[in-house]
Amino acid sequence: MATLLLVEDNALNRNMLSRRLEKMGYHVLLAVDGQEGVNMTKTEAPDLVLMDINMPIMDGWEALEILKTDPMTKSIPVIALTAHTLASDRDKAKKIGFNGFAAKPIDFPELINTIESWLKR
Amino acid sequence: MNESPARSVYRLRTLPIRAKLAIVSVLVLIALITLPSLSLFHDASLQKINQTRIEISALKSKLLKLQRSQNDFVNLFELKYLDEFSSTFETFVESTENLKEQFWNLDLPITTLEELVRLTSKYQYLFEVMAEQKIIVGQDDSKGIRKDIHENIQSLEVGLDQLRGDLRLFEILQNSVNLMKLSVKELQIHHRKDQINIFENHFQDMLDQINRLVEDKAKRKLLLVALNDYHKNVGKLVAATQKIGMTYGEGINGEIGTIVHTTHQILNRLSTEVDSAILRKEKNINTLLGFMAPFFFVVFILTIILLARSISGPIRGVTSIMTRLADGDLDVHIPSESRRDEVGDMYKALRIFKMGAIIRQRTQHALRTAHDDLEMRVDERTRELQEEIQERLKTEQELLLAREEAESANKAKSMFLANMSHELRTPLNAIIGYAEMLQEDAQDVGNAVMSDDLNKIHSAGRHLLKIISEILDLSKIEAGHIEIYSEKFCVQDALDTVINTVQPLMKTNQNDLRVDIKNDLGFMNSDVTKLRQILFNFLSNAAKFSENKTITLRAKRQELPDGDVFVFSVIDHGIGMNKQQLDRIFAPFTQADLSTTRKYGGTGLGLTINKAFADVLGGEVDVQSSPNKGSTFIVRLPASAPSPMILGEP
Repeated sequence: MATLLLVEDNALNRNMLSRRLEKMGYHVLLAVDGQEGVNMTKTEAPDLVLMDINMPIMDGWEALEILKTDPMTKSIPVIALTAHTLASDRDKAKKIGFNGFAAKPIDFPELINTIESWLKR
Repeated sequence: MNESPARSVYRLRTLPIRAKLAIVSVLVLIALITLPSLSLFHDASLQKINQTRIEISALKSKLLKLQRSQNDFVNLFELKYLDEFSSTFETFVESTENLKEQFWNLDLPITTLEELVRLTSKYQYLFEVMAEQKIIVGQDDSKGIRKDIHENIQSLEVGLDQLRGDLRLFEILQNSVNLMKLSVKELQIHHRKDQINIFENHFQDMLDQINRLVEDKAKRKLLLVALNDYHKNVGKLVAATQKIGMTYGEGINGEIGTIVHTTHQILNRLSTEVDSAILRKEKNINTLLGFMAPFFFVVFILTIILLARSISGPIRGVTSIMTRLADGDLDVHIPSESRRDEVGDMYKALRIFKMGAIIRQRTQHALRTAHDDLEMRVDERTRELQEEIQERLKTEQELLLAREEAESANKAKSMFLANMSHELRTPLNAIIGYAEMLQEDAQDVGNAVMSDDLNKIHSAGRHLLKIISEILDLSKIEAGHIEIYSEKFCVQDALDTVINTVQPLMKTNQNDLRVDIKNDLGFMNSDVTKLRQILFNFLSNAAKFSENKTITLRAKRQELPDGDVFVFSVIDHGIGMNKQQLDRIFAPFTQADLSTTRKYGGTGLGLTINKAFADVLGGEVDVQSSPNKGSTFIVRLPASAPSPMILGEP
């Protein structure tokens, strides 16, 4: 059973998404901001991180940068979850090192496809 | 022609210079010809006069010859001298006639010559008279009076011979005869006049002797007859001799001498006259020459001076006019007289030049004025422009400020929209997510009613999301912030996604979607999201405006030299549009008409967004439609989209 870390500041979304993922059979860890996400990634070593971009304390860009520069965590795939649907956001996400990109509202089946494709690797 | 002298002088004065030079040349030529001609004439005249002198000399010599002939005739008493005299006289007369003619020609006085002719005629006459007398006298004892005298002497001697008996008487008478003979001889040869009286005395003596001494009457008578005859003939001889002239100063001889002398004098006078005539002529000619040469010289000099003045004067005038013209004095007076010479031409040229200069000056003046005016206007305009520029700068600054404000406002708007979008999406995400979750749960438990209601929540959430997305897209289009996220993707996969998404919409109005893919579409290098949105918008429109119809999605790859082009068409058989509607459909917030909005709903942004997306992807949209027959929406996109243009921050 794969362990996913969901980093999301919005409680509703965090609750909704974690429940749906758990329903799909994933073990879901939760973090409420970038800083916590980075810490938990380091301590828990999840199989995949789902990271919101717009967050207080530390946003997704900064968190990812830390994760991708740390040799311990840089191999863990990180998928961006964002309400920003601008192409520049997607471009920036890819450039910085996000392994996937899912726009809000989440197309759940597509998200599952993306997660599965990364977990298989 | 009726011209005043002044006019003629003027015409002469204004003759062309070449004509004047020609006239001067002719004058010089005339002078050059005249002087030698005069000289020649003079020489010829002198020659003639010399000839006359020679002729006069000839006359002199002829006169001498005449004298010689005369003397020879007188002395030698040969008749040939008479002929000689005659012939010489004839030539003399002839010469005189010639001379007369020459005198006429030379215009010399001929009175002297006439006198000469008269004298020579008299000379001839006298010579002839003398010759006659000479012939009467006879040359010797065989002719004329001398023969008579000789015969008388012989008769006397015959008579004396009869007295030889008385020897003394004979001797006395013989002596008397001899004395008379001697006297006659003396008279005859030596022309001694005293011998006449001596002869007369001897004759009286002899007469007395005869009368006294001869007693015989017959003998006495014979002697007396002979003696008287002798005396009578001697008287004749004396008379003739006296007539001729005993000496050269007497009788005819004297007269001839006088005439000859006079003739000589006349000839000399003629010589002198001719000489003086020559001198006079020479003097005349010299005077003429002496007059002519200075005359010609003066005329020549005067002509040259006049010519020079008539040339240099006007030329000086022309020069001064030219100088003044060159100095820019255009008020200079140029004589308008109609001269026929080059000066007239120069005046004409100067008038034209002046006119040109005046026109030039006026033009320059006009130009200067125009230039000044222009400069003034330019200055004025510059000032105005500067003011305008100042104003504009001010306006520009204001505009810049306004633009900055507007930009910041726009940025704020974009930020606001982006935030709003984010803020709206987050709860919407939760709504949709929970609806989906609950729907799944309802399906799991088999609660169909709940599932249906949840489905409505879900689709309402989706609809709201779509509206939000469209408004966001439009705001980005209006802000010029459309961004391309170019990647290589499989066109068929993109189409499949669109078809899957649009299938539920098709079912709404019981439409049937037919997919018509012409060839292998392969890959495309473009913004797949935008392509999907374009096709989704077209298809959802078609589904919205059609009922129970087949909607066709057609895709085709065209290979073109500039790069492949994809043509996607969405063909419906719905309500269609008329021309006015077609013209407006790509404008924002416009549907075919307001009733459409009421009837069919929607933001009316789909086609506007499609057009903008097609533009940024380097393609175009097109529509063909007729009311109640349906519409065909076409989008043509290059297989490779142009390089992304990021026009600004989100």
